[in-house]
Amino acid sequence: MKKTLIIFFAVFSLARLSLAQPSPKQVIKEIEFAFNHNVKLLSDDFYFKTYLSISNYQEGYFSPSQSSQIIASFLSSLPKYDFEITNFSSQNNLAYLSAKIKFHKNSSENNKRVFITLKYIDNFWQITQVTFN
Amino acid sequence: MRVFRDKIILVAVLLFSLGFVLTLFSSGNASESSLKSYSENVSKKIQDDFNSKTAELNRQLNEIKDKINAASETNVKPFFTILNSFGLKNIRLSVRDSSGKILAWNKNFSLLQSEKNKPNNIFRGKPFIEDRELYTLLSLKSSFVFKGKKYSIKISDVLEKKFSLHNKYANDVSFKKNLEKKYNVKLLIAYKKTNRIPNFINSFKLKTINGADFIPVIYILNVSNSSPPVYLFSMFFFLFGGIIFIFRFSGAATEYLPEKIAALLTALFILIFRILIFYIFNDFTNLKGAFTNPANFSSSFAWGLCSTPVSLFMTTLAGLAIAVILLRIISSDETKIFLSKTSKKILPVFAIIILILFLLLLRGFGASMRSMLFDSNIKLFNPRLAIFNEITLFHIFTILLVALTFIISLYALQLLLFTIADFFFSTKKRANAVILTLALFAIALFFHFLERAPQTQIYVKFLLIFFLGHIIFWDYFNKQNLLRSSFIILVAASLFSTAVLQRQNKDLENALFKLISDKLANPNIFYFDELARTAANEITDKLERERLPISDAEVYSLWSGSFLPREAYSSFISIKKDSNKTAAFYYNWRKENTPPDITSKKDKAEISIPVIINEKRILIKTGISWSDENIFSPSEPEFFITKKLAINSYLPAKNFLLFIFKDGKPIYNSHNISISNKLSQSMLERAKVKKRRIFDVRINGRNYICYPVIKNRDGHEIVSLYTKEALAPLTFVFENLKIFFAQFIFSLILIFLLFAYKRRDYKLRFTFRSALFILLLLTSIVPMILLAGYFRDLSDSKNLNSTSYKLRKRALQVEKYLSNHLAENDVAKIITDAKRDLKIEFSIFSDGRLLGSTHQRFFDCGIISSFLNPEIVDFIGRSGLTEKLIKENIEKYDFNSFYKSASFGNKRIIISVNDAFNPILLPMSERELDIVLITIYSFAFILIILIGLFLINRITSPLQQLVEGTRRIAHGELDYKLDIKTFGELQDLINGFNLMSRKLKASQEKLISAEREAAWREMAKQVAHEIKNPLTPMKLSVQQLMAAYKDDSPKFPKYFEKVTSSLLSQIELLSNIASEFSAFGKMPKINLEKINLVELLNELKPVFSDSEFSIEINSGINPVFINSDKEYLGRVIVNFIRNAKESGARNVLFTISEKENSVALEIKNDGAEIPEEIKDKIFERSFTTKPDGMGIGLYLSKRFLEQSGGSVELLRSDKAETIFELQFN
Repeated sequence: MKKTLIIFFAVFSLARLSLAQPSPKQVIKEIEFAFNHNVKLLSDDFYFKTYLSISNYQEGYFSPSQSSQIIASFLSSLPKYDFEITNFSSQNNLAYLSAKIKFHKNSSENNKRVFITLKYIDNFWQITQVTFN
Repeated sequence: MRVFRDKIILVAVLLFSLGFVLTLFSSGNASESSLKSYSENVSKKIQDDFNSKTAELNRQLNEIKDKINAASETNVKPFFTILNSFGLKNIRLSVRDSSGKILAWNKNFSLLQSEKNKPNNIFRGKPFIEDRELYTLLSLKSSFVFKGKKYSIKISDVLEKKFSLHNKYANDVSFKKNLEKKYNVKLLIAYKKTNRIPNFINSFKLKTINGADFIPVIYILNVSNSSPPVYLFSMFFFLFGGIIFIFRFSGAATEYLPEKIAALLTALFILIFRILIFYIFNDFTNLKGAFTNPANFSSSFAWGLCSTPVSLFMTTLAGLAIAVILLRIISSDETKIFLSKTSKKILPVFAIIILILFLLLLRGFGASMRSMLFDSNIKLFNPRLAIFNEITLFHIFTILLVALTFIISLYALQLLLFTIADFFFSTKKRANAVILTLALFAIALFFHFLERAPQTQIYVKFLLIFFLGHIIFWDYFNKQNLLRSSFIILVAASLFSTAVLQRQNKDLENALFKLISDKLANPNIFYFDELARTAANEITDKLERERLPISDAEVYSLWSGSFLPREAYSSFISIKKDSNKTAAFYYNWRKENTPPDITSKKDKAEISIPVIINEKRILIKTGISWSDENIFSPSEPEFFITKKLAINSYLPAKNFLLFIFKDGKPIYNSHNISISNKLSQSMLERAKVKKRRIFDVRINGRNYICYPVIKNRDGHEIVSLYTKEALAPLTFVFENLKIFFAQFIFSLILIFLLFAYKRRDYKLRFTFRSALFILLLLTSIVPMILLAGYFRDLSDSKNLNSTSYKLRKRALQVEKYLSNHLAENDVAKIITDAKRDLKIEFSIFSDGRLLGSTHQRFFDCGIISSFLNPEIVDFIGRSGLTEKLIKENIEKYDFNSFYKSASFGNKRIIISVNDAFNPILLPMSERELDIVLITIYSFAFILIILIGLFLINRITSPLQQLVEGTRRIAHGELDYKLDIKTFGELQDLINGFNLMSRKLKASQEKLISAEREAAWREMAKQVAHEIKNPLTPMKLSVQQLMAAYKDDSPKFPKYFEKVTSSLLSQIELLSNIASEFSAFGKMPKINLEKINLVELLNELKPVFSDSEFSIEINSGINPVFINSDKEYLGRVIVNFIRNAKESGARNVLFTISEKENSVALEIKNDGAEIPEEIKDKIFERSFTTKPDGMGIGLYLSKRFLEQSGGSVELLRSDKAETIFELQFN
C-alpha cells in the first residue's frame, strides 16, 4: 500500500515538473488524494508559511512541516472519512477549492467543510491557506 | 555481557522492559461492557459535580440572605453593597420587589431587552435552567422579608456561553467542555427539549438534590479509549529505566571494556533509546499540551524525530550526549596514538573529510537556528511579549542545547583537524596556531561564497572558528576546569545562537510582511464569495433545525459561532422576517459609502438567500468586505477585534500603513500621516526600482519597511505601498538581551547540575569569595527590585491621573452638549449628533438602566450589560458624590470608566465615558513599562554578575595567593614569594607575608645550621662510641700479641692466629658500622614517571593474597595515572601490606578516588588497632613496636611520598579498622 502511494505521488510530482505552467487541477488532484490517504504527502505543497484556521484547534501561520503535522493530527481525530471536492475556481495566479469531509459518527452522517486557497509562486501552485469549519 | 550482571543495570533493564510491556495495555479498543460501565461511572460523577454546583449556589444564596437580614438600614441601599461584596466569578445576582421590578444587582448581572418579559416565578426554591439568548444559566430563586416588605432574590451561574470574543480577552465558559476534559468523554447536553437525539453510549437526566426532575439530559457520545494512568506509568518506567541504564552503563562498562568501546556503545544506546521513545510512545503526543503541540514547533528534520517541541528537545539531548562522547574520544591520547600510526598519505584524505563535515556543520548551525524560528510559532523577538511563557522558555532552552551540540561537535572536528595538522606542522607555537585558524576561516569563507543561501553570517563563522581555535590552543576545555570551561562554552553557545537567530528573525519578519502585503493586495475574491455563500447556507441549516432568532443578540451569537469572525475583516449577518423586522449583527462594517475601488480589487461579497422556515418567509443575508479602509482603520474597539484572522494573527493590521499612488499622484493614505511631496515622490521612485522587494524608508523621524505592489488598471498605474514600522535598533538589543538573559540563567542551572553530577571531584566550600558574591547580589538586586516596584507604582499612578483627567474632560463636554440640546426630545438623535460633533463615545444611564449610548449595539447584543455598574449606584447612593473613575472589565479586557452624575431636563442621569471606546494615548503603558523595566533590569543583572565576578576576583585573588603561599610555606617552601601589586591593607599584608617568609627562611637556615652542627656532633659521638667499642678489644689483643712476641712465648703462633682472627672480626664490624652510617646518610634517587596506579596494585595483589589474607581493589576508574617512582612506590605499598599482615589483618582494601588535582589511595585493613599514644609517632625515624624492627619503613615511606609531591596520613585506627590515605598530586 505504502509502495503504491509513493508511486502514485511520484507520478503526480513528475507530471507537475514536466509542465511549464501546470494547471492547478493537478495540485487539486494531489490534495484530494493526500487528504484521502496521507496528508503528510502534501508537505512540499505548502507555502513557507500557510495560514491554518481549524475551529477549536489551531489558528495561525505555520511552516510546511507544522502544517502537515497539524492537519494530520486533526484528521486523525476524525473517524474514517471521505474527502470530496465540492467547488473549485481559479483565476490568474490564484485558486481556491472547497471540499467536504464526510464521516459517520454514532451512526449519523457528519460533514466538515474545508476551504483551501492556492497561489502560483515560483513556478508551483502552493497552498497558502486551509480553513476547516 | 558481564556488565549486565551489574545489579543497577539489571534493575534498569527490568524497569525499561516493564514500561514497554505496559504500553501494550495502555491503548486498544475498550470492550462495549467496559465502555458502558465507565460511562455509568461518569454519569454518577457528573451528577455529583452538578449537585455540588447547585449546593454551592444554595449556600451562597443563604449567606446573602443572612447578610441582608442582618443589615441595619431601612432602605434597599444595603442590597447593592451586600450583592457586590461577594467577588463571585460568573455568578449573577439580582433582587426584585413584589411587583417584579429589579431593585439591585451585582456586577455580572445582565438582562437583554428581549428577555425582560420572560416568566419569572418558576421553580421557586428549586434550581432551574434558564436558556437565555447568550447564556445558559443554572439559577436558584428564593424570597425574603426585609423591614416588613417581601422581596425575591435570584442567583445564577453560567453553564454555557453562546458567544466568544475570538481574541485573548475572551473568557469562554462551558460546563460541557469542562466535563469533557475532566472525564475524557464526548458529551451532548440538551438543556431544552430536542428532536435531534444521536446514538449514545449512555444518557441520563440531571436531578436536583431535592429530587425534582430537570430538563438537561446528558448524552455520553464517546469515551476515549486510551487509559491515561497506564500510559503514564509505562512512560515513567520506560524513561526512568532507560536513563538509569545509560548513566550506569557509561560508568560500569569501563570496568569490562576498553574505555573507547564503552563510550561508543553508550552513544549507540543513547541513539537507540531516543528512537525507541519515538516508535513506542510517538514522542508522547498522546499527552496533549503546549510541549507536544506541533503548532509550537515541528520540523521534518530527522525523519520525524523533531516533530514537536518535546521531540526536538529529546533529539537534541541525545545529540548533545553523543557529541560529548565523541569529543572525549577525539581528545583522548589514544586518538593521537591512532593518528600517529596512520599513514601520512591517508591523513590528508581523512582531514578533507573532516573539513567537509566541519563546513557542513557550520552551515547546519545556521539552518537549525532558522528552523527554530521558521518552524515555530513562538515569537522569540517580540517586543510586545514582556515576559516569556513556559513554552517560549522551553524553546529558548532547547535552542541553547542545539547551539551547544553544534559548538561541541564543531569543536571536536576542529580539534581533530588541528591534531592531524600537528603531524605536519608544529601547532604548539602561537603563530602556527593563528595561521591554522586563519587557514580554516579562509576555507570557510570560500565555502560561504559558494553557498546558495548562507545560513550563518560570515562574521559569526569568523568569531566561531577563532573562539574554537582559542579554546583548543589554550586548552580551556580540560578536565581540571570542567565547570569553568563548560560555562564558557554555554555562554558562547548562547551568544552565537542569539546572533544567528536575530538575522534569521529579520528574514522571517520580512518574508511574512511580504506574504501579508500580497494577501492584502490580491485577495482571493472567489474564495470570499464562496465563504459568504457557505455562511448563509450554514445559517439556514441551523435555523431550520432550531428556532428563529428574534434579537440582535441571537444573531451575534450566530455570527460568533460561524467562521466569519475567523475569516473576514468585516462581515455581517442579517435576518429579515415577515414583519419587516430585521435582526442583524455587523462587524467592522461601514454602512456608509466605502472609498472608491482604487486598487482594482473587488472588496465586497454579499449573498442573500430567501428561505421559508416554519411557513415564514425569511431573507438571510451574509456579507464579507475586504476594503482597505475596513482593514487599516478598523471601527471596532480593541477588545472586540478578532485576533484569529489571517492578518491579525501575525501583526494587527491596524499597525500597517498603506499609501496608494495613481499615475504618480498620491490618492490614498490609510492613517492620514502627513508626508512631504518630496518624500512621497522618493518613495514612489524607490518602489518602481525595487518592484516587489522590501526597502527601508524614514517617515517623520521613524524607520519603516515598505513593500510595493504595482498594478496596471485601465491604463492607469496604481502603486500600493504597504508599510510597517521597523523595530528600533535599541529594541533589537533589548530583545537579544532578553533571550541571552534567559539562556544565561539556564546555563547557570546546567552548571549547577554538572556540579551535582561531578560533586565528588569538587570540594563544596563556602569561601570568602562566594560570601562576597552573595553579599554583592543581595545589596544590588534587592534595591533594584524595590526601585522597579516604585517606578511601576509611580507610572501607574501618573497614567491613572492622566486617564482620569482626559476622561473627565470628555464627560464634561458631553454634559455641556446634552444641556445645550435639552429641547430635542429624541435622545437617540442627540446621542448620535453628540458623537458626530464631539467625536466622543459615551453612554447615559438613568435610574440604573441604560438610556442610550453611542455604541448601543454592544448593549443590544448583550456584550455589555445595560444595567449601571452597581459599584457606581452604591457609591453615588452612599457618598452623594457626583463623579468617580473606576476600573471595569469586559471579559478579560480591563479599562477605566469615568462616571459623572448630571441633569438632563428633569431627569438625573449618569454619563459614562471610558477608555475602551475612547483610546487614550499614554506616554508609557503598563506593558511598555514592564518591557523596559524587565529589559533594563536583566541587563543590569547580567552586568552585576559579570562586573561583580571581575571585582571580587580582583579583591580575592591576592587572598587566594596568600592562602596558597601559606600552604607552601607550611610545606617548607620558604623561598616562596608573592609578587602581587595591589593596594592598601592588602599590599601591607602581602609585604608582611614576604617579610615573614624571608625571616622564616633566615631562621630556618640558622636552625638547620645549628641542627646540622648538633647532628654532626651527635654523629661524631655515635661514630666515636661505635668505633671505640671494637677498638678496645683490638688494642688489648694487639698488646697481648706484642707481650707474647717479646716473651718469645711458645704460644705465640696460637695467639697470633687468635688475635688476627679477632682483629679481622673487629675490622669487619667497623666496616659494617661505616656501611650502615653511609646507607643512612644517603637518599634513594627517585625516577618519576606516569604510572597506572590500578595496574600497580593489581600486580602486587597476587604476591600477598592467599586463603587467609585477601586484598581487594576498589576503583570506579581505570586507568588512574599518577606521577611516581614505580619501584619505590611498590616497596611503599608492600610495606603497608606487610605491616597490616603483621598486625593480624586478614583483609586489605585499596580504594582509589580522583579529586580535582590529585589522586587519593585509601588503604584499609582490619588488623590490630594502633594505640592512641603512638599514633603521632609511627612516621618518626627509629620508632618501632616490633622487637626486631629498625623503625625505618613508615619513616622512609613518608619521606618518599613527600619528595615525590604527595603525602601520607593515618586517617583512623580503631578496633574495627585502620585506614591510611596516600595522596598523589
